[in-house]
Amino acid sequence: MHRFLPAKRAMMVFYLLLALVGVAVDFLLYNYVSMLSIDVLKMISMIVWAAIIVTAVFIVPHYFVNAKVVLTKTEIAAAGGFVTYRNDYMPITAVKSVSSIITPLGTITGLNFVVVNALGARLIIPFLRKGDALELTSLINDLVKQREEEAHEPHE
Amino acid sequence: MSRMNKARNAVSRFFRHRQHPIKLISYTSRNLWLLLIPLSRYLIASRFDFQAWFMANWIDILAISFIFAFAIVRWVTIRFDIEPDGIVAHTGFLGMVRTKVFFSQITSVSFCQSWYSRPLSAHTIYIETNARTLSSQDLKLVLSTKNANLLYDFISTSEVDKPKVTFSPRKSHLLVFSLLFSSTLSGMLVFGTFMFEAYRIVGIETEREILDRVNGELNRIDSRFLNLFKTIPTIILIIAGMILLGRLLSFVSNLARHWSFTVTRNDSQFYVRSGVLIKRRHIINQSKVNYYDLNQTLLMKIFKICSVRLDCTGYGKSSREIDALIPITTYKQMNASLKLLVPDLPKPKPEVKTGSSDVHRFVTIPIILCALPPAIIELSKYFFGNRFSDLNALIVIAAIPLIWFVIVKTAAAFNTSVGFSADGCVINYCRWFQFHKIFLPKANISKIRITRNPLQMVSHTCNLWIYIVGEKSHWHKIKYMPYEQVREVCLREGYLMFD
Repeated sequence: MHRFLPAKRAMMVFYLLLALVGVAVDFLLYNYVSMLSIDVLKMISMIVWAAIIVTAVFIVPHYFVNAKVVLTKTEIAAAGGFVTYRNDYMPITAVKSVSSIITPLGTITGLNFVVVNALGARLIIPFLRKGDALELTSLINDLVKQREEEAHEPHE
Repeated sequence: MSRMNKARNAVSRFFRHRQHPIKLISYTSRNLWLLLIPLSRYLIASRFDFQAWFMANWIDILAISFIFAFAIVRWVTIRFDIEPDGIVAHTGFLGMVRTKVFFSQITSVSFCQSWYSRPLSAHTIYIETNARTLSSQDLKLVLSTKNANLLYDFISTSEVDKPKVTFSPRKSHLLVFSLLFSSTLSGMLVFGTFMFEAYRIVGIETEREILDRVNGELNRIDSRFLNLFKTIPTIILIIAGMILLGRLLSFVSNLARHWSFTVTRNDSQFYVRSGVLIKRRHIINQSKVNYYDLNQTLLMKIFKICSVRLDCTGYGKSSREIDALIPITTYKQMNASLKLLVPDLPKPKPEVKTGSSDVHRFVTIPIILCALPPAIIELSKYFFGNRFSDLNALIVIAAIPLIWFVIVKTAAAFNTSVGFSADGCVINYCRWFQFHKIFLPKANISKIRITRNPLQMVSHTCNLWIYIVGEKSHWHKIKYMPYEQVREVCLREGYLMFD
């Protein structure tokens, strides 16, 4: 059984993105939304920053604490979810192919993904370390290859 | 003589591997008629003085000649061949795309013949597999009747002396089926398409004249007999008219599509025939059927009738076609027919169910939606006064389907369940106004997902999503299931469960 956890660096990227969103909203509000009064603008800005703080303190950590991927000989199981907790189970027999997406600077950002393709379904495993993404892809490919070889073995 | 025979054989071979010549028309531009009609009018007006006609319109004639020449080149380069293990087609631009579809991978093959291709002995054939392709179907060919019948016999594994089971619904049942499964939206789409094509041919002025005349006649009939325009707000009459017209068109379309419906089963294939204006024959590979669906509305449930559908890539794909195995039947007849048509169908018992204690979960959102029409009326009175009293009547009418939705969702609370057996799975759930009972082999489950939002964490419930193999991602979502029981069943079935 192989177990993979999400890359904590991806959490840092999320925090950075949230901060950028907050700054961008403030910039747009105070520079381009001049028809509203300053008090209303301050209120909107406070609401946006409150949402960002709630997301940063509760929602993002909730994902990274609970997310995991387990690979056995018979299935792939993945848990995750930012607000809604989600568990996915895909039998290896259903897997047709697997793709890995290694983004530029993926080693630093932790934004690497594995996409497992089956007939009628797809399992996306996000925010993996580069090494984990490549290892998971390789393991799944080996299992699929083993399955194909067993299927083509002549029966005694 | 032998040279003549050789030439005859070469020509025969040439045509045998090519599509029907009617395909030339579809390879020409759709706007070709915009060039041809004025050209013909000019020729008639000049009393067939070809020289003057040519001198005045040589650019248009040249353009049309190029279009036809290109269509001929395209027709010649697109060809197909039947090999022992599959069918090979050269399609696309100048036949550059070579596609081989293995017979073992075919999920369904459809042979369609519309009323205008019948005199020309042409069939359109659609060949499908579970693979997702660039175009909407794996292979689409237009063949002569002779070639189509040869291909049908080649793909069909039916043997004359082997026993077969055939099911054909009664005509009265088909009327009920067409009525129950007619939809206003699809009817309006048919009407809209017809009006658009009519406008392209006759022009907007002529179309407007016809519509004005129809409107005038309707007003005349109403003032003489019904006086509806005086008593009922106009907007409501228009919408009611649209709904009735849409429904009627959809009913007629469904009836024509499924008239003479028969399904025959041999060892490994279903053969389905249906249709009046467009005659359809389907060969469905039984082993490639993803699942069977007993489909009902609440009224059908009350009267104990249902429709049995099957999900197989390619079958039911064309617009407004319903993928029926048994279009409509009573419960008793359905059980007997399914035993004959699909004897190996796994039918596990439901194990995890929702019940009376879950009704409030199912009806909460529908009840909130029901409160919207009176809220909108109050808001419109507050902002606009009584200026839009017609709109208020409309909003009240819009509340009727919402109230029906609440009733349907109340029934859904008692008809939601899931169960597994050694080789099969059964799923009962309600999506919008339709109740589904799905039977499928466990091997066709490609993924299972369990989701819980924060409220469901507190109430120990979950949503179970079951993804089934097929060309496109297809899932069935069973809501508000008891989490512990679902977890227990999944563990028993061998699915790894996280806490």
